[in-house]
Amino acid sequence: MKRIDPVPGEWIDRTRRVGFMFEGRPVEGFQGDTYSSALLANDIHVLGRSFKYHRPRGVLSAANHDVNVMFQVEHSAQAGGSRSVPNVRGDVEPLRADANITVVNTSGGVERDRMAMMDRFSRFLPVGFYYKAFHSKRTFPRWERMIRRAAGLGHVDPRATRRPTAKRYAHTDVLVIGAGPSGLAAAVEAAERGAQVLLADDTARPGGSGLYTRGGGNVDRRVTELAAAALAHPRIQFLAQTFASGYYADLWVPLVAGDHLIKVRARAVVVAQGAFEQPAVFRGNDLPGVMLASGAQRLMYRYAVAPASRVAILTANSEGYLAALDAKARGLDVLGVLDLRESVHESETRLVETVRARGISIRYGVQPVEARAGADHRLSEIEFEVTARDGGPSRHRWMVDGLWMSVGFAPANQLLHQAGARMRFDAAIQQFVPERLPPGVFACGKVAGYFDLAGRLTNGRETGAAAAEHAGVGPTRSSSTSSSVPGSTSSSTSGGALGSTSSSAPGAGAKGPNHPRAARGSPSHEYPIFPHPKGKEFVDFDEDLHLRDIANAFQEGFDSSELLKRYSTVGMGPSQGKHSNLNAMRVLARLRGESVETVGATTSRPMFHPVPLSHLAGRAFYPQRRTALHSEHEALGAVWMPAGDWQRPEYYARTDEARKASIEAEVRAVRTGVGLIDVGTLGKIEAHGAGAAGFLDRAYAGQFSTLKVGMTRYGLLLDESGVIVDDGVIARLGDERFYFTTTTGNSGSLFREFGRLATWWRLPVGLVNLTGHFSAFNIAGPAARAVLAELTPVDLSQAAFPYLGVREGEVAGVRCRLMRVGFVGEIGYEIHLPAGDATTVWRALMRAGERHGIRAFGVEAQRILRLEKGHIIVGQDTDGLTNPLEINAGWAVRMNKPFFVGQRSLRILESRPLRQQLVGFKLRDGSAARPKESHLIIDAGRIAGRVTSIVESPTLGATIGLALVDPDMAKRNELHIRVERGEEVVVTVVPLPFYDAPGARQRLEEAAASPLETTA
Amino acid sequence: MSAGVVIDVVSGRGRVGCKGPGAPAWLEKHGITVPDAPNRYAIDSSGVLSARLATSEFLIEATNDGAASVVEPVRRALEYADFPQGVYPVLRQDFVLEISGAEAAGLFNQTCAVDLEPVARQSTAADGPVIMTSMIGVSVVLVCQQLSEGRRFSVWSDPSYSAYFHSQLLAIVTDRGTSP
Repeated sequence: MKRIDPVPGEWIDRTRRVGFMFEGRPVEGFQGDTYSSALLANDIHVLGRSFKYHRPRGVLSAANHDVNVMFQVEHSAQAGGSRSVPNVRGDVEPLRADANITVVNTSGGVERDRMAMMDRFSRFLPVGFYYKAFHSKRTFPRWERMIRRAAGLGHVDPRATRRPTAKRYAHTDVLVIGAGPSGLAAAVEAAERGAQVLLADDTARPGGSGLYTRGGGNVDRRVTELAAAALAHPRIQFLAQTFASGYYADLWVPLVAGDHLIKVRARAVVVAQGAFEQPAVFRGNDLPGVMLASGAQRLMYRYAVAPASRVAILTANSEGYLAALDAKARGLDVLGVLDLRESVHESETRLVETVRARGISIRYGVQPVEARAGADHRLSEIEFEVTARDGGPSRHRWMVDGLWMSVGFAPANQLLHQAGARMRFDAAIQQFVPERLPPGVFACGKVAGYFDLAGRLTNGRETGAAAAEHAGVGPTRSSSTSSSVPGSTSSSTSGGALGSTSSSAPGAGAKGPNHPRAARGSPSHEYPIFPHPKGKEFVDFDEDLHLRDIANAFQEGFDSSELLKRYSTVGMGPSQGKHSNLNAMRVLARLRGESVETVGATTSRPMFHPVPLSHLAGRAFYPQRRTALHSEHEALGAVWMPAGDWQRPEYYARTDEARKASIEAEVRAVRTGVGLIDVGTLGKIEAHGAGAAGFLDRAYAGQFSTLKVGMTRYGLLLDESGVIVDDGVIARLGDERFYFTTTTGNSGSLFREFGRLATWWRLPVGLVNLTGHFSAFNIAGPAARAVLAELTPVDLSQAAFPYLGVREGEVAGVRCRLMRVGFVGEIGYEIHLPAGDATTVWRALMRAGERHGIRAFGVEAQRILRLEKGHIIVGQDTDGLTNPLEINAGWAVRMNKPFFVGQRSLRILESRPLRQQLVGFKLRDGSAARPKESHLIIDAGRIAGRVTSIVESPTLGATIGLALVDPDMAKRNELHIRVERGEEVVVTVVPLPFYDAPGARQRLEEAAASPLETTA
Repeated sequence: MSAGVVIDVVSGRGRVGCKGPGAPAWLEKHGITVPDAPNRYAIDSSGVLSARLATSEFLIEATNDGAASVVEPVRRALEYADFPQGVYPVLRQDFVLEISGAEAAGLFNQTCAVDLEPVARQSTAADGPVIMTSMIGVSVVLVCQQLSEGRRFSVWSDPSYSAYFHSQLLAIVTDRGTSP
């Protein structure tokens, strides 16, 4: 066991042992361990295989970026049965007792992965291999299968049940992302000033690197006090194990928690995500045992695990020396510190003396040559050269099982990039720092270039104050800010906060030589990259890219950062370049002979870190509406279909009828007796006031100021380009009172548009949306008047209530509006009434209609009925370019009005040839194939139109339809429609309507006695 | 305050809506005091809730049986075509919910993107702001009352969404986790 003595502040509970299975063998850890820490504690170091070459890999960062240590985890005791989860990151996933884990992407297990032979063929898999090898359509499927088998990660468990992952909204004054020292200081300061603060961190406890960068001592008191203050503060809510996956406009940040997504809208956002420690690039830098110094410190202090017994520290900054002291303090054998630099910064002199005093040797001007593995795949030996101060080059070999790298950092500034921050490369600290931040966005700590603890605390505190001020929260204390924040110090050399409270006050990024961190030496080496003749100096562990790959891509012309990324795939693996982008850009900059700043960073897009699809899917809201008669339809056997947000009966199923028979019977009932359909989904709007008629005249293409009270008129609604967008019936209920309908799908958007137009035109009109509050149904058929007459005192005679009339009166004791309309081609009355009374009247009509064989009819029957009558459906028989002239609806347009929406465009269109024209057609007898909607009209091999509607008409005993065709086609007798399998069907063009051309039946002009008059 | 979330359906209350330039004076004439500013509500001593949804649009609701005797004559006065000049009836057949309980905030933060905390802070038992927002994707009117037993939110929505509201809120309440 590699478990070390108890460490103050460790995250494990040594009283609770947890057993699990790893690659078929039992392993034991403690509650609080991760899989990686528990495995290392059991002296298991090969935890994964690399993506392409299947090289053995171990812990690199222990910070949620160890993408080569991903497991397939099966929880056998999962509620509802076992569940297997792929690509679980071992470095952060908490241990679970019931887990059975295997390493992803192996063939035969992690120890004896048969695919490891790929490592020997690496020179046959150069950069761009995919592009070069798989361009043949013939061989690609075979290659694809092979590659997927070889390089795939975990597998999705089809047994998995859907987990509800609710999305939540949260609102706060200040959102602080990252609970390291600077984030804590910012959060506490903002809260002290009265701000409500959300503090999110991807780890379980606040403190960040302050908890594990100890230099051999205890956690700095300032960090522990700040963490305690943050957790206890009534205005701070700490969200543990929660990360920000991106930044979106207007301070909108999604936080990803364990089982749900939180959408945070903050008044100010503080990015305090720190920096990712970067690896050095040298041959063998990927061996298990070679890791980031911060990763080793996390393992020692969080989980009390010694990741090695004999270690060397490869460094170029003071953090490496602190790591050496930590290793020594935890009882490890530290062979020495290997400093890439020729000398240390003067500010580090005392630290170096302390290291020497612990008996740790220090070599300067070191160049790593190679790390080698033993038979167990683990690091066993390092070879390095020492130059300069030690008297010329000399080569050395050390036998070690741990090499900890601390050669530099890359700021975790992805969210700042997404927020639109302008960054600049500060050569003094070899890091991009924010130069200008958008209003409300702030940055502090390492991401802003502050690395020493005192500087981070001061910077965090100042940033928290600025964020609170931006959020509109003023200072609440008279004393200085530093006195109230635990851990604050007056000795800081930190500069101002890197935020701005307005666009005119850009963030004041610390500048060049005056940068406080520069005064302490750079935390990052400018080029920690050491080529080896045999290669395998890995730049990107995710994608197995070594130094030669980058050079080759450059040589092939992929010489910009974005091109290089796409060709080589650097930074495109699961860690999204967190450990590779900076080094890749350094290499590219050197190859181009330019600076890193000139080469620039690649674009950072959300997601910042992989987010489970279950979180993104979450609980979605798809509003569904029901009419007031829903339960009546249910009782009648309605088969439902969606219509916009609504559920509508497609038809009413009867046990003794098939679908087609039911629909035909519904059609027949309307044509020969009486039918009743729920049209409550129509948009229903009232317009009141002196400007109501003028408003409708301007909004619609027809004229309504001339409409008599008590009458209705068909209305076409156009957009500015003269295209039909909607239609409906406008009823005049009084001089200054109109009631009108819109199509089902457009009711909401049109009401908003009408409101906008009324405001824009400054007309004295009041609009009321009654859509959901009013119910409506249409009773239609030769017997409709007789049925209705039994229930209403309204005079339904032709003289008193003519076709297109509207009346108000009671039906079955309920006050209703009755409109005589003829959409289905028979005498009919649309009955509009308050939704709460709909059931009463519907039932009364059904009862009264029994002796006439009344039948409820659905949308499908209505589609047939209206098509027989040649009536269009906007959106089906029109498209996004159709104007009224093309559908023969010029009669519904009054061009002589002073103005209406679309008038100017229509005037232009009038002077031009028609683009298309609506025609009716009938399928010829004996046609084997039946066209469908959207089938194309073909003329001499070219597309000359399309079918918009087609039905089998039981009334006419024929298949009839509408088509939009080239205008010259409308003059022909026949059309050729291309159907499935390339067949062509010839149909006959016929005049519209197909049924009752004079309109006698709907007008009630001798309707009952008149025979059906058809064109079909 | 009740533990969990309490959802009451109170759609059956007496309710009337009206708008138009003459609406404020007309309502006052009928004994209904309307809020001075748009997007405010007030409940008078008899229990009549008057919400000013816009400069000249109002929602009047009886929050108890006694108030119904005040609201009903107003509703009837607007039922027929001869309503007064400058006053337009707005039929209100709303689906209305009252949501309260210790975890009501947890329900709202899954269903509504608007921060209701300031709304609640600005509300008393008898007046406060009116919020027009979206909840589970549906347009709603929302007010909050600060009562001695805790906060109570009233939500008015189009009645055609009632079944959808039922199913969604029930699902959320059933598997609701801790709020952030």
